[in-house]
Amino acid sequence: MQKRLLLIFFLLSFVLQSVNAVEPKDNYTLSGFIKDAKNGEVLPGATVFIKELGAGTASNVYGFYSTSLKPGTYHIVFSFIGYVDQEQLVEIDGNKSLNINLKPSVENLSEIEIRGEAKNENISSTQMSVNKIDSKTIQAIPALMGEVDLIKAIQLLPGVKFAAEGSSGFSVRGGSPDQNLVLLDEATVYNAGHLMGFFSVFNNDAVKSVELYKGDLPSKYGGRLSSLVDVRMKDGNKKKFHGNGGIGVISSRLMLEGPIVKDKGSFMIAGRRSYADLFLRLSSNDQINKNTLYFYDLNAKLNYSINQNNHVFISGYFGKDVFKNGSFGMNWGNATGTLRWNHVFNEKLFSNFTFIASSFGYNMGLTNEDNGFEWKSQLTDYNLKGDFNWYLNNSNTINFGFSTMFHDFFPGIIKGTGSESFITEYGLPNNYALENAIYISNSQKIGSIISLKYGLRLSMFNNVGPNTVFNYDHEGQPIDSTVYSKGDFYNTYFGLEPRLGAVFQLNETSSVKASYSRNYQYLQQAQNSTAGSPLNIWFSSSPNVKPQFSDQFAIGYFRNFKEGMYESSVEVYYKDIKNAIDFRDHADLLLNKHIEGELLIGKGYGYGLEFLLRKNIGKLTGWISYTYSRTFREIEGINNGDPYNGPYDRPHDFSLVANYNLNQQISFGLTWIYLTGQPVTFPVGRFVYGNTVVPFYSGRNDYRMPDYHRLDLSFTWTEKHNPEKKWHSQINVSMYNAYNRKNPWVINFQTDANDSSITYAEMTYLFGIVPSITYNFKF
Amino acid sequence: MKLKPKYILYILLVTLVSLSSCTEKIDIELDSDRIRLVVDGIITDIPGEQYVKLTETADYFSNEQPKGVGNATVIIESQNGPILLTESDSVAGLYLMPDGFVGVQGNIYQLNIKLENEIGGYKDYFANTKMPLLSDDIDSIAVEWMPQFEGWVVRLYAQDPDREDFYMFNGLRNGELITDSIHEVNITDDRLFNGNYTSGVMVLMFNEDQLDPGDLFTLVLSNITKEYINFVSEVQTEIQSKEPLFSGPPANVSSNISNGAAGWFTSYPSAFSSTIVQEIPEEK
Repeated sequence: MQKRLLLIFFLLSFVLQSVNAVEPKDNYTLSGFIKDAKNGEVLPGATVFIKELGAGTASNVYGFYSTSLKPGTYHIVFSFIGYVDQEQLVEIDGNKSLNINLKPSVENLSEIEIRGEAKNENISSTQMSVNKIDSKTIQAIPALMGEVDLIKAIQLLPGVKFAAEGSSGFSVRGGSPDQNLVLLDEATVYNAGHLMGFFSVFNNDAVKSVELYKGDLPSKYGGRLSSLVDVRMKDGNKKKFHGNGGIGVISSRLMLEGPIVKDKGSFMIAGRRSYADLFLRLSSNDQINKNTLYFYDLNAKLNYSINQNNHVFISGYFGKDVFKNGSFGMNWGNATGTLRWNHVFNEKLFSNFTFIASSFGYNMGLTNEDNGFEWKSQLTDYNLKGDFNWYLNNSNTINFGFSTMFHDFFPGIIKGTGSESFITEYGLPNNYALENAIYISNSQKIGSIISLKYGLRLSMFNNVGPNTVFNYDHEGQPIDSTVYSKGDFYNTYFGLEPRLGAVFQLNETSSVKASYSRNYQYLQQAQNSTAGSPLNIWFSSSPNVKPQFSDQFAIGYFRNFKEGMYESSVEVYYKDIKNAIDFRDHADLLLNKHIEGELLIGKGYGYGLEFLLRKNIGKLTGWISYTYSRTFREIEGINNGDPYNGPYDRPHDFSLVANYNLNQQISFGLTWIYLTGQPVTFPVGRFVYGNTVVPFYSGRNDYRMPDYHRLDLSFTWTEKHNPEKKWHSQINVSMYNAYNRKNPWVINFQTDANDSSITYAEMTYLFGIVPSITYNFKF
Repeated sequence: MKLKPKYILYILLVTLVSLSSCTEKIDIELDSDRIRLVVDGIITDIPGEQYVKLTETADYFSNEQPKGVGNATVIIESQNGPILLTESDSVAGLYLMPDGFVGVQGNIYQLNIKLENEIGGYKDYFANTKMPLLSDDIDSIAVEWMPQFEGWVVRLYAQDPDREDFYMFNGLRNGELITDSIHEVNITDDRLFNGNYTSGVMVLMFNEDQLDPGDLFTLVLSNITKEYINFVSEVQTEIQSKEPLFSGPPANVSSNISNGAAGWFTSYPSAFSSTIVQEIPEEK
């Protein structure tokens, strides 16, 4: 294997050397960075439109762009949503570097002025099944208890459904929540929820933008079947010191940013702490008011431009949830760290090297007792990535690179503490794995009508000793085991993952796109509940667990209206999953040495139609999304081997998200969502055993809960802008579930307390109307 | 496996959910299910506590006591030969062993049932069970008041043998069974204390009104089979309230009766230990 890796590095270095050789002599390159003029943040996805050619390019995620031009004079328009277009007359007589600073648009510009003709990036891009939301949009969405939450915003996009009400878990195109790759500055976030998922770990103050890729992942990403959520932290204001924060019903937050060296380096630091437990004290219930319950998180980022060609970024996240009840205590949380180096080899070759460490773990125990216990679990990743953008010419942009990741699993150990402890240490030993990938893809324009994207990702997964691997019989009972020694690469899987796409540009404002992608997933969560809890451990592929892989075909029609004021799209997809994992009936997933014996392997498939109409500019902004989709699983050992509705099969899904800016002071937000009821298994028969009524169930997921719908409203008042004043205030009032819909969170079947022969159904709903108020400030 | 920490987690969940959640009855229309035979059979080493109960399944919302299945021929066979059970005069479908019969540790018992009329497509049903060995090394028990839970806990001081054991715990108050339903008994395996002295492991919990100071409390420790502990655990899981964070999908409980009948035929030996319930200490 190592030989193969060496070979790949040779190939890479060969490619690097030959970059300059390929270009015809009479073409020159224009390249540079596109930034926000006010704070110096780079603008990813900003467009560069060359009027004379009627064509253009876009900046990459680090704000870098590069385009090839014949000698001459060109009118070039640089633009980005929410910013004023900048047109420059550029004379090309050699390779040229041009950095652009775009000014944010004043909010009250009339709607037409803001949009330029070059902005149909969503039409011409080869990427499909992607949605981008910036932090401003997220902030405008009414939020539960005023906690602005990007995961909840994602759940309103077509093809995305929450796993359960209030959950930070979500299903993309019918997939499970563990099939979403959630990245924060490229580091995997294994658990995106605080307070059992009711709030997400992302502090919106620290977030720049988030992009959701629904299955059609760029070649440089992999490891999950259903989606990629790419969250980028703010870099920090490079021009001047600035801060903002807020005091809300359940938490307070503060973000500070500013230059370290003006125009060269900056920092951003953001913290958040909840005080939900203060409310617990108000409860009259003794069980509740003695509890301690809170979460906090911290985001920090430093960046520094060494020179025009070298930029470094360091960013980190640390968050924890803490719960205490008497001597019982529990905490869980994520920590991530990312070190990045952007290097511009030359005007055609942009590179980024990243080193990432990420971990998720939990601890719990009865501490101050004579016979207490302690239970720990942890997953740690170390990841090195190299990614290269090679702007070969105006028709071809090549992306290639590698990723190598080491996983250290510590699934869990429980041991006794205290002088009288009788608990023997019991647990699952550490195990290790390597997940590597190399990839190359090309975006190719053929004339002005057709663009293609074709890429290939080769992923490789190794289990690394020491470990003891059990063999299981048909019933999942362990038969015998094999012991592997330290450093033993005892199991290897390969995945060949083609990622293809094509765009047929019908005209400037409409296109038809098609894509096919295959994704492999080597890590999954041991979760058989719908919403999941932080205790659900991640486990890897192994000799007993083949990697899951999916094939997704999608075709879509994209159309912009009114100079790009409205974006619309219709997409149809079919998705097929092999080696899909589900669990045996009554599976025991916590601290189980034989967890692999609880797995059942089969297949899954689903299809859907997604419709989106989005308005990004003007007084009224927002989107309407409608999805019709179905998803099924077929797994030997479940539902007699017959296909059954997947746990996230909710055919009709409608979201309306609207934000209306009446003027600079007052704005209103509205969200309405409607979802077909969640599929559930209900009892149809019963019997009595040991004086207890025991249910007999219908087929898996044969029934549905009542449909879900909910209206959220918000009102925001912003202090009149006064350049004299440094401090700016804002008050946000929101109303979650405004018409008090009782949406069942769960339906249980109970036996009457007085007459055990009487059974009845009972629903639990989580939130009635939840009003809240948040005070935000900026300085 | 019945690990306590999992249950403590429910406290967290209850804390979170109770802040804002409400429950109410809801009307649900359910389909009908086919009728099956249900067997509830037990052999113990206590005289008079062996029986086989035959009933029928019903629709979930039938809301009636289960129908007993009478006039069946019920035979239990062991190495000492077959024994014919006699049907009770007072309870339909209840079949009793002859007086004085007690089960023996290590023996295998085979249950044979011949119905008068077919139920679920069959007339003949059978099952078997092996009575496990008893862990009969209890030093003492203690009943303590737990102010955090505002209830009683029963602690066990005993030596666990160095082998795989599965325990079921019942409680008697002045000789009367408190844990009189299968969902009230506590079950545990010994994976966390195998071969150790269990210095005060909590084995049962009761509400304030279930015991009074001065009561004679008796703990019944039974060694059950691995299959039976799984079955009881499944029953307890299925009748517990579910919620989306921790609960897996509902699933039918298993059975060790042939031909698709529901229920279980089990056998277990038991050990007893008693103590007087003390006064609730004054709060400091």
